[in-house]
Amino acid sequence: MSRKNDLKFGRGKSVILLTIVGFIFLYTPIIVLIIYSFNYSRFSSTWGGWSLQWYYKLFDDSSMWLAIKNSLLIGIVSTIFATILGTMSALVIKRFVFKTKTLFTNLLFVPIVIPEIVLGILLLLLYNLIKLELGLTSIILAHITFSIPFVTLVVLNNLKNFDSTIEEVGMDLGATPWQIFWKITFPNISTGILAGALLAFTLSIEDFTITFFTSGPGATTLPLKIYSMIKFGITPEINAISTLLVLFTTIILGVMYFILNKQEKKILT
Amino acid sequence: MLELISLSKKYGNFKAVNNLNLVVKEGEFFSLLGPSGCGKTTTLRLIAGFEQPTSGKIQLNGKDITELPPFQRNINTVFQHFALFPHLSAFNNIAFGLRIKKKKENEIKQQVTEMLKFVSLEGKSDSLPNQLSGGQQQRVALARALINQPSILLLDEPLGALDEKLRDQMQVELSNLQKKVGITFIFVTHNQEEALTMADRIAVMKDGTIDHLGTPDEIYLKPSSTFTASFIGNTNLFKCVIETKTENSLMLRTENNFVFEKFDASGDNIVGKNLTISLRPEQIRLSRNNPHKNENGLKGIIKNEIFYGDMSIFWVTVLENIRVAVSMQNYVASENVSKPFQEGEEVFICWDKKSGHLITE
Amino acid sequence: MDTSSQNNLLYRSSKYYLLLPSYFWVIVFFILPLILLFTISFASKQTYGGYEINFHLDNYARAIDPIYLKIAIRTFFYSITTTIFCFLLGYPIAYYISFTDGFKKVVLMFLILLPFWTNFLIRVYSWNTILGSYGLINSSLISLGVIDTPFDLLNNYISVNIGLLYGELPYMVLPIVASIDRIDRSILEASSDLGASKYYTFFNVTLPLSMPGIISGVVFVLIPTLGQFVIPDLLGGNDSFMIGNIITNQFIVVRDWPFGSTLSVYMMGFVMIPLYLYLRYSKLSLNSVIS
Repeated sequence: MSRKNDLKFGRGKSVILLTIVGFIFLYTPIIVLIIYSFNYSRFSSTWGGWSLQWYYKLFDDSSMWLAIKNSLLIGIVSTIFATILGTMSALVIKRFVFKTKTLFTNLLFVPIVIPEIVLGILLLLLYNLIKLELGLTSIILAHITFSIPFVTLVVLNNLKNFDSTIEEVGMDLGATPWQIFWKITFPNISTGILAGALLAFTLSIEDFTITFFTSGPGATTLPLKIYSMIKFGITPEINAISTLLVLFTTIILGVMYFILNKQEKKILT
Repeated sequence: MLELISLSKKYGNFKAVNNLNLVVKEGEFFSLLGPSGCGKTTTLRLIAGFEQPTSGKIQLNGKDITELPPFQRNINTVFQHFALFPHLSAFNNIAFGLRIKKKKENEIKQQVTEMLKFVSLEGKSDSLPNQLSGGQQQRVALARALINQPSILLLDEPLGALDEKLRDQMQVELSNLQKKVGITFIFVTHNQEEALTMADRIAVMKDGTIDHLGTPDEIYLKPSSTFTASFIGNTNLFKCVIETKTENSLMLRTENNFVFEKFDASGDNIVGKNLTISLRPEQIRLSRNNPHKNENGLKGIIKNEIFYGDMSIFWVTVLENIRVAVSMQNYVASENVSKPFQEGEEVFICWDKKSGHLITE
Repeated sequence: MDTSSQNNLLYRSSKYYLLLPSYFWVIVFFILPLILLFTISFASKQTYGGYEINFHLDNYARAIDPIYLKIAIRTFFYSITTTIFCFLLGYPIAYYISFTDGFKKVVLMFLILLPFWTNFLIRVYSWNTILGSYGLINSSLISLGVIDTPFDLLNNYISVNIGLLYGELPYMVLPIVASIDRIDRSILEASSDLGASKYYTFFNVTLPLSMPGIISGVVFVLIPTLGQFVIPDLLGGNDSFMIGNIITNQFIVVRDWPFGSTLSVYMMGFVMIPLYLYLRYSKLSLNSVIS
């Protein structure tokens, strides 16, 4: 039975009012931005009539396409590595007692709580010391570094619901450790791993600060490209690309919701 | 006195409580009993005020309380998993209601200390809920509710979270407690034993309504429906039709044409009427000899014996394919001491012509 | 943690090689650079962004010069006000969302999450079109005849603080929703049952029980705000630079890496020392605060 809220918790006038204010605050800029992406005028101060010209401009902008390509490449590669390493760390933390466990766990999670700018500088100093040229490789290594703790965290939370006695059942039935991992452990924690991978990908695609310190010429990502557009004041194109991003995200999440919902119903019936 | 008048609660199309009428008397230990999904918990939550009925009225001592929020009803609840405040000590959990009433701190201290003593938790006043055992948490939950001196205490499966030994002990404790404080207790359970041992009256619920309302012996011995008969304890049910009738006896014919006599002086049964007879396993005995004069008897074969320690249940097949449960005390001086009944043995099942309860539906 | 899995034979045999890659990564990409940062913070600047390691405290002394101190105080002030406002606005939203269910809850959660997938820079920059001299607010106020000359809302502390609040709000809402979701509803019913009004229940039961979510929210808002440089860069003016801007400037423009490193050490200290003390005091583990 779903939770009934007949007692009307969280339904006071002030709560509703502040919630409405909060959502207006969150969405006014996004809505304004979408509207202005169709503005014929170059300046947001004047309305020059409806137009799709900034979308055409955007599609013709080859440097934009390169930035998107770079972002996707960096996102995919760093997600794969971070997911593998993060999952391994989570399994290690969940399972073992070892002398340096607390130290190891804390070191692993510290990057989440230090300001991004500091992490960016740390990596910049490292690359400078080992003479690694700033480019796609340096960005990918940076993204793997900040994604590992997040993947570990998500998988670790998922492992909390995993009953490890079923692994012992596997052992009892004669499976090798490798078979146990792929046939028992993995299928049961795969949603957690997937969630971790999605988070890593989102963080990578979104990251500006760390990429800002670890990128070099020729390795522009989408956020860096947007930053330079903002700095040069090409606003209407920015409005167009962000409108597309909002649309794209809404569609992907909408589709995901309906697929998950359908699966759930299938499982229930 | 609590009155529920035509009370209904719908979730979408599902009628959790369906036109329910009930009166609970002052000082009564009342039990709502039924399988899961029968609407007993919803009824309790409606009485507490956590949910609003779709239609109907709730009256407490003649006053309509249907619309009142829980905090304005003089009713308190002991929750299924106790719902103790995890961030508050046992003392502060119990003092919660008094603090809201803005009682003086020294008065609170005195009352809570008394209450802790009453539920024998003297040394535990500073413990947090997760430092207490299940039984201790249970008593904190009781104390937290009772200290407000409610006119009614609602208990939602309060023994369900306890292990079996503790449950037996708490059954006795709860009954004694109720007698001591004299407050009306309404107790929800799916466990018939709990209801039978503790309650003054029981309402057996089915599909959102009351199937049978009565004292424990009434619902056990004279159930008004086959549902109640089979839900409370074990029973053997046979559909019959009245073949002939005398002043104080009926001749009944079962579906497979076995005819037997049942003494019945009620007079409201007429020839040709369909009814069901409920025969409890302990009303039937096994015998190697023919039935006595005032008994009905049937020949059958013992298929299984299920041993419970103090007693056994024998499943006997009669009339080719009818399975009948017969219970028998073990280790009493009876004919089976010298020669126990064996599986596969041919025996008579016998029951007194007075025994059995007729159900008309 | 269950002891059975601790003694799990399967993992006992393979644990050491499973540990190696993660340890390697943490040491190379985190410990080593940390040592490097400390070392360089005591070094001297050389031309073309180089540095000479000759241990001295000049950088540390320079960092407490009133010019930088003023910016540091401003950074703290902005971070604390941002955190407070995020809490004051974020808690009611989280509270509201937690008590919805079904499709409505999915939609509201989606609306809170959507900004995460819309570029952060764009979201911050979009305030330009609202706060500018010809932006939404000023032009509406002028056309309504409320004011004659536009308010100065952009490129100053107002726009920076709005940007900070805007950027960090979802990070406050999400952990609080999770923590209110975790509160057993029957505990709230019990409170109501014992005579508590909704106000009393909120302040004595719900709020204290959602404290873990509030703490996570504070950590997730306060720390990024302390290190923020993009928002003042895009929405601020000379009166609203934060420490992050000074550090970025030292590394990218002035190329004084040693001084930039010193400022970074200070920043890390201001974040890590209070966090460490809090964890020690509350006996919580780091991952329980951030998960």
